[in-house]
Amino acid sequence: MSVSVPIDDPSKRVTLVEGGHDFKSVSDTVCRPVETKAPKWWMISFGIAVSLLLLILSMLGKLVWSGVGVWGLNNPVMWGWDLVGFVFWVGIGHAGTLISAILFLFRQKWRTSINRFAEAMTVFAVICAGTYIAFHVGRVWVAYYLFPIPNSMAIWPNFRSPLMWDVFAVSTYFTISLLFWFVGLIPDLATIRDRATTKTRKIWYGIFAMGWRGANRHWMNYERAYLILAALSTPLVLSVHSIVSFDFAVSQLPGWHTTIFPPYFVAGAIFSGFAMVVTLMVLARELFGMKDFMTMHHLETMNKIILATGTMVGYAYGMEFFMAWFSGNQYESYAFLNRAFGPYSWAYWTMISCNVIFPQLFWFKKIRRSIPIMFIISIIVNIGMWFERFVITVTSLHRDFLPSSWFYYSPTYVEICQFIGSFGLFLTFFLLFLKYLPIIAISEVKGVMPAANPHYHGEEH
Amino acid sequence: MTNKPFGLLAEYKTPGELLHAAERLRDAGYKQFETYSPFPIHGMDNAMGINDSILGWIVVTCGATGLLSAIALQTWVSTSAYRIVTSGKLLFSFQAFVPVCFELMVLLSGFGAVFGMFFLNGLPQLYHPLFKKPTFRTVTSHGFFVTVESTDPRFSIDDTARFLHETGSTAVEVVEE
Amino acid sequence: MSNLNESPRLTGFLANGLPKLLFAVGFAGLGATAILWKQNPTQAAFSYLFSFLVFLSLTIGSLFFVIIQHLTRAGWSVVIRRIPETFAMNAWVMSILFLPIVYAIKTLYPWSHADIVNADHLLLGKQGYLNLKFFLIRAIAFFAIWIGMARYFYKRSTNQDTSGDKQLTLSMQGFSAAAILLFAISVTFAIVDWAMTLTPHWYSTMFGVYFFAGSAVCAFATMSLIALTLRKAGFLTDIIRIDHFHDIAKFLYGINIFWAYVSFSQYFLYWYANIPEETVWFQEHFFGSWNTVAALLALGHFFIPFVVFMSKHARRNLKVQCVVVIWFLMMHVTDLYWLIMPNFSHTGIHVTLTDVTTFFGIGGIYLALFWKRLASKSLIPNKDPRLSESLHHHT
Repeated sequence: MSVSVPIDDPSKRVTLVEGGHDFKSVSDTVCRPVETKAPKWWMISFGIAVSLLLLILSMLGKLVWSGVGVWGLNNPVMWGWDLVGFVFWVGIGHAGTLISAILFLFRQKWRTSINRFAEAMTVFAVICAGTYIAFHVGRVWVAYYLFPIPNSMAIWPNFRSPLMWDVFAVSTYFTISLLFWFVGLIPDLATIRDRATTKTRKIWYGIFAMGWRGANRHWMNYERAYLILAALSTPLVLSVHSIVSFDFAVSQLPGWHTTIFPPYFVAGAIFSGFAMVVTLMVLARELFGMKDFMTMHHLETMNKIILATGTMVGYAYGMEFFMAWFSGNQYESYAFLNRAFGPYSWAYWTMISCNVIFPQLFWFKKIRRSIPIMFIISIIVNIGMWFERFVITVTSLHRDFLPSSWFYYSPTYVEICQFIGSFGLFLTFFLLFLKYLPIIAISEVKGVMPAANPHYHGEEH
Repeated sequence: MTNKPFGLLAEYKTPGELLHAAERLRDAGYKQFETYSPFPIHGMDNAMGINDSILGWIVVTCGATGLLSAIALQTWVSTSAYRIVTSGKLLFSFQAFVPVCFELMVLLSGFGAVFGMFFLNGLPQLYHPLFKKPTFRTVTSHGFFVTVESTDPRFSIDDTARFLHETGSTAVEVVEE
Repeated sequence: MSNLNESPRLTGFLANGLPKLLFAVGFAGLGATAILWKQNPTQAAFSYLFSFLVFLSLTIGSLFFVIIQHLTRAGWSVVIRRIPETFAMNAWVMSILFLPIVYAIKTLYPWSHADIVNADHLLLGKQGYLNLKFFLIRAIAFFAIWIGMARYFYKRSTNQDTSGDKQLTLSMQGFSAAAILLFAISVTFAIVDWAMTLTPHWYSTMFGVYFFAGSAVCAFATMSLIALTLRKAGFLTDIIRIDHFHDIAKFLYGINIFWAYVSFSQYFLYWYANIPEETVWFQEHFFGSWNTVAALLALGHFFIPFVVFMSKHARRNLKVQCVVVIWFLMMHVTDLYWLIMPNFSHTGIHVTLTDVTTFFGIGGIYLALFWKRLASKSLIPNKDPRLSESLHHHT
């Protein structure tokens, strides 16, 4: 295995596909997991994932059966692990669309070998987030009240409520991400269909490939659709996490009500999403032998974005603190001092060290290019981002304006198991994706290879 | 009774040859021809002489519909169907309607982009004469093809096949309907 | 394609006549301001602050562009980079033009009066930050950062014109990461100091981002306008091509949406929570005819360009682009006017002579220095290692 050497000549660009591939070998390599028997590690992981999935299902069953009282929420902490879990997963779900859409618009060609992967992650993470939204309403069988559908009670939703905006934002985001992912998959599903050696594969991939045959008139509309979806998804990504932040920021609660929340949440979402992509990518490129496509250059670039967004998050923490003092508002100042030195200070400092301090290690090129260290940091970042949501949600609530109701919130086993189980839900989907779908956008990778340029004559000019 | 063929299928080795062949066909006055490749080729639309995609207009229409219906829905629900004052806000609080307006606009635009693309491309189309050709199965991996359809006024099996050979095709075959 | 070794230079009217003319306008404007200042110092001071911030935002936005191009190793933008590099170099003149604001501190900023502070317990609490000495130290620090960074990039870039040393590109890339940090912090606190503390009780964590977004719109629009002017005068016609203009237009479009997003969020969160000490600022900025200005901004700064620039054909049409960027600049100026002037003219919009004289005074000198400096070096970084990529850029 050749190790890629960083190019220090600014007039040259890094090769995106290593290992001397041609078009056919790209198809061969990417389709291999789909066309061969699942490896042992996959079977084991899938077993674990499904058992965790059973855990979340039983917890949700318990929740529906007994009501939301099984969670440790009580006045004044009305939001706890449920909301933390929701924001955590939605946040992770932002990297996929960011990679697909924003990097596409910025013509960042390196995205081609990781966007499929990240988009899948997005779709599954939003599903996980959705379980929190759907089940926190308690009587989940009447969750359709959330939608503006005529009902026998003649009730209509309150469009001045941020939770209503969430319903629209998250469902739109899920739908558009799914469509974006599916549109990207069509040519690759056709690749698998055309390579199929078994009838089942031919039929099933054939149905979802919808008769794609690579005609140029199709590519023309397809590329336009892809571009438009990218252009739509870019503000959509910003809007979704902004709307999630509105859930907090439109309130009058110190620590929640601050104007930087929308961009700060978006930066945090990208931060955590990229970290999750790095975690999964480090494993997948190793286990599936896709190092030629997911190169060190890719990982390093991802790490740079983690550093950048982590620093933006740090900027927001700093601004919040400064403005809390600058405002002269005693409640605001107290909320922040309480975060840093109150009963939940352990969570606060975990958050600061995971989100602001550890990513700073990525200033060093050696660390950005070290697989074990980036793997650890990517996990640390996600721990930190979970704590960020915990700190925001719980510390602001637990000491409200009435000291007699101050309360130290701890989760019950249901909340903990539900959160652990949500990883099972995520991983079950994700492992199925790894096994049954092409994890790299085959046609897009081919498109960025030098040989794809019609004016290519054996060397780059 | 013999079936009229669908057309001729010609294979090429590289994207460059395919582009060149498309230019030759365009200049020779062929209209009903199509190129096939595993990935979009830069400059092919021009080489084939086809017009720009009209998808943008479909999307704009859908987006405008989404925006207007969001405004209508929220206004009607808040000011007429279910009048309830919350947190001291006016019944018609356009500020609070912005998020849903935006989301519905994007949602419908997205539908327009995806389903509009399917519509323009005539997908799903699970049957096509080309799928019967084993050679054509490489089109989604590493094959580059041209078809000239028999509906083209200039089409004639022999002349067109010769012409395709001249453009550098490695193999030309007839595709039955 | 033009020869990479030849360095295109600015000549003729743009290099000689225009700077002289602009200097004349500038000094006339500043002279008139000095006379008018006597008559109504408060009005003149606010007008001056407004005009100062317009050109500061251009400097800031241009500096941001230069940093971000190096940070992202961008290739497409090489041919236009000399324009923002030159604008950023004007940071030094902004530091001199800042002196009248120092002179007018007592007129502009209520927190600079000891009696007001002593009677106000909120302001007493902020004294650690809002005091004259620290204010000046910060201002010096901000200008030192901006001047230093602008010179860092400009010197290396222009040295490369002759030496062609690729190491210079690498060092600029290396510094760009730290530069963006310094940039973010300095711009945030600068605008907090100079614009937000006009109403010292009010606060918003988004304020820095808001000013930054407007500055970026301004810088992109100006960049396009300068490039169009050069093109009209026959410079760089086959070097800065439609594809580059198209890219500038796309960035302008995107950043303008970002501006709308940030300004709407700031307003929206305060509108929704409806806390008096926060809404007071909007009360002032929505009072009387200022409300019309705010509505004009929503429509003109965001909505109209959003629709007009949506089409690729519009963005690639240079005539349309020229109209749109001029429109953007007008809107950006209106935005800053709306930001500053309600602090002076509480009852509604009231354009005065000093608004005009300060604008042309500062603008004349600023732009004269820009054109002079632009003429002093090659119009493009003609030995940048990524120049060839930029010259062959296709969208």
